[in-house]
Parts: sequence; structure tokens; C-alpha cells
Amino acid sequence: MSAPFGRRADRWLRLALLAALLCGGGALALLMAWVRSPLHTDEGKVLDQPVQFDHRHHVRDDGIDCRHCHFDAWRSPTAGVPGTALCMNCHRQVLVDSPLLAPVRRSVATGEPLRWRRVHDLPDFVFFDHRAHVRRGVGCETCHGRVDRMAQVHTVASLGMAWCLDCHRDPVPHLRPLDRITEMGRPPSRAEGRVIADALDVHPPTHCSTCHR
Amino acid sequence: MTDPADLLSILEPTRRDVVRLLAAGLASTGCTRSPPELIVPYVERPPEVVPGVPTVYATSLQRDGYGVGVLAACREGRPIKLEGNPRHPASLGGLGLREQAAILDLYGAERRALAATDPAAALGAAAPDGEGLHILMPPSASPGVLEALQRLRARRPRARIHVAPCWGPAERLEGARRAFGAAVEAEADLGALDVLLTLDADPLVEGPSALRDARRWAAGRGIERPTASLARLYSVEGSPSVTGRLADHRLALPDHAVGPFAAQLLRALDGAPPVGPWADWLGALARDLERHRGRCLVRVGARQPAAVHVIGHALNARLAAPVRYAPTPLGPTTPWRLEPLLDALDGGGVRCLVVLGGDPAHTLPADARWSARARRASRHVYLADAPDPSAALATHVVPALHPLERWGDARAADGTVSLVQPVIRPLVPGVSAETVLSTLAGDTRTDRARLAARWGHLDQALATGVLPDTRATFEARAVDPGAVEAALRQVEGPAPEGLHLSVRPDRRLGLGEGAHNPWLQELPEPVTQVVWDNAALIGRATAAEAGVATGDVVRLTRGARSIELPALIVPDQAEGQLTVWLGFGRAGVGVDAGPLRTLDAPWLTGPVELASVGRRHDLVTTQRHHRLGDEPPVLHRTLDAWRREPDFARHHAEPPPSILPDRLDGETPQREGQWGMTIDLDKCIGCNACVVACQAENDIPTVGKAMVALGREMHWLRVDHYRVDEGPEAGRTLVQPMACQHCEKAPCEYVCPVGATTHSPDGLNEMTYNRCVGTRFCSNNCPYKVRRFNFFDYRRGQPQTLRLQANPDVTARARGVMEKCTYCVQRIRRAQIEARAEGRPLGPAPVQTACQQTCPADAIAFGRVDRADSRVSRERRSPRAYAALNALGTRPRTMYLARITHPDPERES
Repeated sequence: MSAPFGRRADRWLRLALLAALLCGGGALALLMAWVRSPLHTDEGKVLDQPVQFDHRHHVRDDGIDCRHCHFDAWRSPTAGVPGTALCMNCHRQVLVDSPLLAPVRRSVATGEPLRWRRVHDLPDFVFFDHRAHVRRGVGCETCHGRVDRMAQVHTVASLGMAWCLDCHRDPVPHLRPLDRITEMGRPPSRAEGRVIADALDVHPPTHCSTCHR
Repeated sequence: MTDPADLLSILEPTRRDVVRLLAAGLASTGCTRSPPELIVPYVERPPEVVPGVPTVYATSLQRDGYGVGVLAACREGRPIKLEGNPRHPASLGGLGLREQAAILDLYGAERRALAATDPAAALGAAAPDGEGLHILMPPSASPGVLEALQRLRARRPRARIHVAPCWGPAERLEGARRAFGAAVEAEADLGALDVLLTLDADPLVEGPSALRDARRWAAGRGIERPTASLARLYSVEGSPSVTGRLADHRLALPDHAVGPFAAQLLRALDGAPPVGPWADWLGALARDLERHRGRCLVRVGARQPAAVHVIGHALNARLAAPVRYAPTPLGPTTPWRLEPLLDALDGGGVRCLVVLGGDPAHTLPADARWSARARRASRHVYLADAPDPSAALATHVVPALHPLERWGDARAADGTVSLVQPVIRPLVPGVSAETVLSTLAGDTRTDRARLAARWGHLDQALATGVLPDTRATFEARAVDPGAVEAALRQVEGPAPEGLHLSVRPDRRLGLGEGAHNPWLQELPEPVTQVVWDNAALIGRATAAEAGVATGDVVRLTRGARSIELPALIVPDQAEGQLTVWLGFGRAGVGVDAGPLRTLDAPWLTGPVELASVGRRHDLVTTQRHHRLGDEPPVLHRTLDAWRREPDFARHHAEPPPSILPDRLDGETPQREGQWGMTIDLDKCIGCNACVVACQAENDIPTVGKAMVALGREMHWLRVDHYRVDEGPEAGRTLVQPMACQHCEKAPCEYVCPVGATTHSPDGLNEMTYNRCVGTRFCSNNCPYKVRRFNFFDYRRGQPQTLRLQANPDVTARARGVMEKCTYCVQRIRRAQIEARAEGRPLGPAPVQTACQQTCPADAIAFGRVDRADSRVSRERRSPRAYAALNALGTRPRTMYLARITHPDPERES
């Protein structure tokens, strides 16, 4: 008597099971890829801002140093966005009638602050400290990219934890002299970084409460 | 506040709820993205503000009308935390639980319900000469308020000013007036005593100088110094107090028998043999006091009648106590009486009644019949902190400013003037009491202008918070013998029999000022650990006689009036006395004891009848929550025993051998410091101020009574109470603050399946909320039971303004994660980053944790254990140092110093 089921009787079932497994795994892999992709991290995404502020013009053409406006980065966890009163220090003389600056003038006149949209938005459970980085040889460009070439600011990295940890585990290639923190377009070298790391005693911690408190 | 009942409904879901929860769970699996964040910079930034860096202002709060200097830390313009001002003599850097909680009152939703009223218009009807103008106010030591009162008297001479005696230390000042001829404040260094006797007094937590006294008292407990003597504390009181719990000898005596006891003690010191049931106890006490003549002190509680205060002064004089006196800064001038106002109201002669806060409808005794009488005033202006029952009686309600919103000044009991400066623009359109009085006096200047006129150049004083050279001169004073004789005649005689009721302001809510503050309501009462409730405290024998158990609702009847509230059996309660805390019966919590009080006896109200009404009430205490096993993990010895065996704690300090890898094997770089904490139980008074400070610093939610009943309170720091059952110290209650011990071999870390709790190289047990998935394995494996789980989003439905208090340096924890004490890691990291940014080395103790900073007794040390010169290292080397549950081998970074008691070796009990 032959067997009631042939050897291939459950072939389709096996194939279906395999396909289901692959689909499930694939979906999971897709999801994991998605959260790491710029689609999710908003890397490179440009946001609508109340004023079309052009960093190219201010940094490259006018040669204004980053810390002229973002001076808090050296003394506070936040780099700080300047108040409109600071803008008007120059724009009382320069481009006084430019329609692009109308919201700024309105803000100063009414006392109503501008409402910028945050581009570099870390999760609220991450406590990043600018002062700890710029005073230890991490330049603006390292995280923010070539802001001097950006018509509108966008992120150049995922700002994910792996990205943070890459540098915290091996900071040497990212360090630059303290007097060149704000310089753009001069990538630091490993040799230089090693000297700086020794001089400034740079040993970035990598345990959880460094950033999560 | 979220309604707890609302949260609890989830425990018994209906079918629909289940579907709803499933849907909600599906929706919350990561398909949402956080809303875009905005950056809103200042248009023109104030020069002193750096976003991300706290700005600290020196200002003052009121404590019973006296000033306490505080430092208000502000972030981007909103005050988030109060600390004591180390330069202020009534604080010395510490703060009590009510001062710590005051920041929440600022943001409370209740006061925002008050509508703006123009005080000038409301007060405009007052007659030019003050005829028919009556002012009812709490006592105040503010020079500004008292000056405005003077101006008011000059401008409207027929105006009348009243103070309800039960709003202030009326009996204490009256006693001083009788004994010395003037209302004076007494000052003594509690750290330089051999014997302290408290008579129904709680000097370490109550009164205007309690913070300083606690600091001085604790400073005198340094028994490691070979020459130091250890003060002996005697307490005679009806209901256990915070100070009384520390007593080496405690006599439970009904509060109304304390006077006769004091009288007999005075007689005994003069040679009369003591009689009565307490004769032996009193005789031994008298001998001990006599032995330490010149180095002992007697303190009488503020609720005792003036005559007992006179006897207290006579005792101090008789014992040559090191105490000095100076005129009180509190005004208006004593004696305070309420009857003239009540009579005027009855006579219909009150055309304009101005009440400067105090919620008289709730805080005055029932026979004042305030609710009925206040309506007889043609015009009734009320300066309101909240829409309370008194506000409902007024024709004009003027919102009051919080001390953090106004200008002003305050005087401490020692005369030191401190300034009150606003640290935020008013959240309600209110005014200060000083403004109200000045408006009536025709003075239209601002409080700020008056302050400058009074004290001149303010810049320096605003920076330090304290005006220099304003301390009063304290000097010795002689007691009037005639007054002592009269006082003795008044109190002597057998104490009356029967069951007596004693009411007292609650240690958290006061007379009701804190009733709207959820931090205070949820704080375990420092002695009984009751939350969200008050109760009738009753002794064991009295309860057995009446057939009452804890939680039974009893009816207390006095004359025609009665109240019903749950009974709470307290082991150290004097038999024959019931104690009820005031301040409840507002905001729907607890029961008001006001109906049983009378104007002539607002505190020791006299005989009451007790009857069980046959109902039960869920009285929630945290006493049995988070138990650490059967063996109390707290060490103590008597001084004699400790001298015989000074290293008794050693086997509780040496870590047992372990197979687990050593985290601190000497190879770990000590770059960032190794952190540790010590808590000196000889200094700790168990006042619970640290618990509130932790709550304010770390953004800890309140959960409501129903949740606490399930053991779900969120406090990261708790104060455990242990009662000694046997041995020579039987009956003693010990306290031990307990928070995460930051074990070097932490049991929680090994069981976390997702690595959410880990160890940092500088010795912290880290909790990473965003990794936590809520298995609660860590909490189960924690032998100290210090981990707290967010069962619900307890902030749901809470007023948005309360979020303004939140510390931006700590993570807002989501529902379903574990949290616990972090050693204030946000402060540690800030200090490290600042030190490195400024290129200076980290000192031995560069950080103060929130609990340490507020501790009035300075019992907590925190710092680097890798530095031999830090206080925490020194204390860890003390022979008294021990680790809680040391035998488990967890190697906690928090260590305790054992309590050393000092009973009189010559007495039996």
C-alpha cells in the first residue's frame, strides 16, 4: 500500500511557511532600515522658516564668525538662536528696507519673537551640551556640516546614537585647535587630533548618563 | 491633578475598554512622530539670562510670619527650585518641607481662578478717618508691612487692626511678656547643650528658628571628636513629635498635663520632693538638669498656655540656661485679640472689613462663627491665596501675590532683615498685603519704591539676600518672680481626668495653607506616615477601652458640636489624649477639627467624648510599603555600649567576599570622580524635607491616595521608620532615609533584559528611561525597594502651569518605565562639564544633591569617595559607618552612620 501522502504533499505548505518567514523578516528589516534612513531622521530636510536666513551670505560673504550670534555655545548647553534685536544691530544700517527682513523688523517693533523651527532636533531624553564640545576641540562643522554653503540650514548627519558614539569612541580624527572651532572647510587630521586630544585631555565618556539623565 | 478613581477604572476593564486599550496599544507602537519643535528666542535677551543655565536670585519666604532666606533657581525666566540661603541666619542653607513645596503653590491652578480686582477701588469706600474700618491680618515680621500699618494708623486713627491669636505664637509671646515685661524671642545654641528638655515642643521642625536650631543641634552630634559631649534629650509630650522621637527619655503625658509637670519640675529643682505617677521620672530628670546647670535648656511648645511659658522661662533662669533674649520683630503689637472685631461685627459697626489672607472661615475656631458674622460687614475685602471658603464670604476678592512674585522684606526671629524680590512676572493680577495696607494709608508708591526708601541702596542686599548689621542684640533678662508665682498657681494641681482633645497645625499643611499642594498632601506625615488624610491619634489602651481600631471612624463630641474622622492608633501617644491635625477639610481631603475648637481654647480644647460610629475609612500610610525584610537594616547603640564596643558596626561595613567581578578594581580611571553618599543617622531628624526637595528637583509626580494605597507612590527617596522591639532601647523609633544605594554590585543591573540600568565608570547606577521596557525585574531584584514604576501617566489632566516648575535637566518619564534616585546625576554632569570648560580640577565635593542641600540638619554628605579629603570619605571611615543589608554583598555607595543615643545611665526607664 502506498503512503497516503506523497513526499511532496506539503511542499506548498513548506514554501508558504518560508515565504511568511521571509516576509516577516523582510518587513522587520525594512522597518529597521527605515528608522535609520533620512526618511525618518530628516537628514538633509529643509524646513520652512519665518525668515529666509541665508548662512552662505553671512558666513562666507560677510565673514561673520559663528559665535557672533551663537555665543552661548561656549558657556551653555544650548548654542542659542540670536534675538531679533541682535539682527537689527547690523540691519539698521544694512538692507534696511529689504522685504526679506520685514518679519525681523516687525518682531523688534512689537516685541513678538520669531518662531523658528528646530532643525537639529534631538529627542527630549538626550542632553547635549555645546559647551562641553566646543571647548574640547569639536568644531561646528563636525556636526553641523558646511553651514557656510547652506542657503537654508539642514542636518548633515542622522543625529542618531550610533553617530554620537562613533565620535565618542574615537574622537581623535574630529578634533581641531580651539582657535579654529568655527572654521569651515578645513577637515581636521588624525595626527593633529592626537596632539589636541593629549593637550586637552579628551576622553569622551560613553556610558548612558553622559547623555541620558 | 488626575482623579485617582479615573486611573483605577482601568484595573477592572469592561469589554469595550479592552478593545479600546488594544486599539490604543496598536496606535502607540511607533506610528506617531513627535510634533515639530520651535525655537523662540528672546527679542532682546535680559543680560543676566543665559538659556540653559540657571539664574539664582536671593529672596525670602515667610515661616509663621518670620523671614526665611531662600535662593530661587530660575530657568529661562521661570523659578523651578528653591534652596536655603546659607547667609540667612534662619536657614543656614537648609529648608523645611513647606518651604520646599512653596514653589508648587506659585504655579497652582487654584489661584489662577481668582479674577483681577482693583484694590484701590475695593478699598475706596473706607472712611477718611478710618471709622468702621477693621483689618484682620496674620502676624507679620515684615518691616514693610509694619511700617504700612503705622502709616495707616496715623492717617486713619479710628481704623482697628486685629490679629487672630491662633494665627501666631500668641501664648509664647504672652508668656514672655509676663515673665520679662516684653514680648521677646529667645535664642540658644542647641549645639552647645548637655541636656535639652522639650515640653510639648518640636523645636527641630516647628517655629521660626527651627531650621537653624536643627542645624545647630546636629552640629553638636559629632561624637567622633574625642572631647565632645553628646547632648541628652528629654521630651514630655502628648503626641509623638519629630523631636520627641529622637528623645533619649520620653514621657507620654497629655498636653494639658505638661503644665502641671513643668510646675512640679520647678518645685523639684527648689527641693520639693516630686509626687504623682511621674515622680520617679521627674526626680531623675531634675537631678540630671541640676548636674548640667548652665548647659541645659527647656523649650515649651507654642500651643501651651502662657503660664507654662512663664514656668519654662523660670526653669531656664533656675538652670542658668545659656539663653538670650531680644524683642520680637513680630507685629502688630501684642496682645492679639479677636473678640473686639467679633463684637464690632455683631454691633453692625463694620463698614469696611479687610482680611489679609489666613482663610478665617476655615482656620478660626467654630465659636467665632466667622461665616455668619463676616456677612454683617457692609463691605468685605479679602486678599486671597486661593478661592477658599473665606473668599466666598467677601464682597471684593483681591488675589494675593506669591512671595516669588513681589517686592518686600522680612525679618527673621533674630532681627535679620532679608529682601523679597520677584523672580517671575505675576501669574495672577494680584497685590501684596503691604500694597493693600499702603493703599489704605494713602501711600501710592510701589512696594519696590518703598523698599528702596526704607533700606537705601539695594544692589548689594539683593545679591546676598540679607541686609548686613540688622541682627538684634540678644541679652540676658531676669524673670519676674511674681509672674512665676502667678503662673504656678494657675497651672498647679492635679491634671484633669478623662479624654482630652489636642489639636495642632499639621506639619505639612499648617493651618491649611498647604491644602492645595499635592506634594504636601502626598508626603508621608513625618511621624505617622499618613498621606492624603488626617486622623484622630489615639493611644493603645485608650483605643482598646473604647473598642476602636485604626481606620474605624469615630465621633468626637464636645458640647453640641461633633466631628467624625478615622482613628489612628499611635504607639507613643499619651493615654487620655486625642490629637487631630488642622489644615484638613479643604480641597476635599480629611476632616476639619475646627468645630471642636473654641476661641479661649484653640489648641488644648478640653474634654471630648469618643464614640465609634461603626464605619470604616481607608486610612493610607506608607509605613508598611517597601519593606526590607524582618531584620531592621538600621544600626544604633547607646553611648555607653558604643564606648565599650566602638567597632560594633564593622561587620556591617566590610563587604563580604563576592564571585562577581569587582567594578572598582583600582584600574578604572578616576578621571571623573567616584561618587558616594553618607547619611548620619545621629544627625537626621526625620523631617521629610529631603523627600520634597527630591520631588521638586527630579520632577516626581504625585499619584493620589488610591494609588498610594496600592504602594505606587513615586517618591524616589523615602524615610523608613523602625521601632525597636527588644533590648535596652525597646520602644525607640529609628528613622533611616532610603533611596537608591548605587550598589557597586547592583542586583538590578544583572536582571535587566534590555540594558536599561547600567553602571557608570564613576560609580552611579544609571537608569536609562528610553531603553526601559517596563519588565520590573530590576525592582523585584532590588533588596532596598527603591525603584518606582510609572504605572500611569500621572500628569494627564494636570494643569499646564504646573509643568512650568519641571526641571528641564531631567527627562520627563513616560508611562511604563522604571525610575529611581540618580544621585542627582544632572547636577553631577553639570558640575563636571563646567569644571572642564573652565579648566579647573573637580574638588572633593563639587556637587550637592537636592536632598543634601535642603537637609536642615546637614545629615547628608555627598562627594567623591576616591578623594580621602572629602567629607564623605571621612565619614565612610568612621567606626559608625555601615552599609544597609551589608550581608547581601551589594556594596552600596550610600553608607549610613549609626545612631548613638545617650540615655541617663543612672535611671531605670
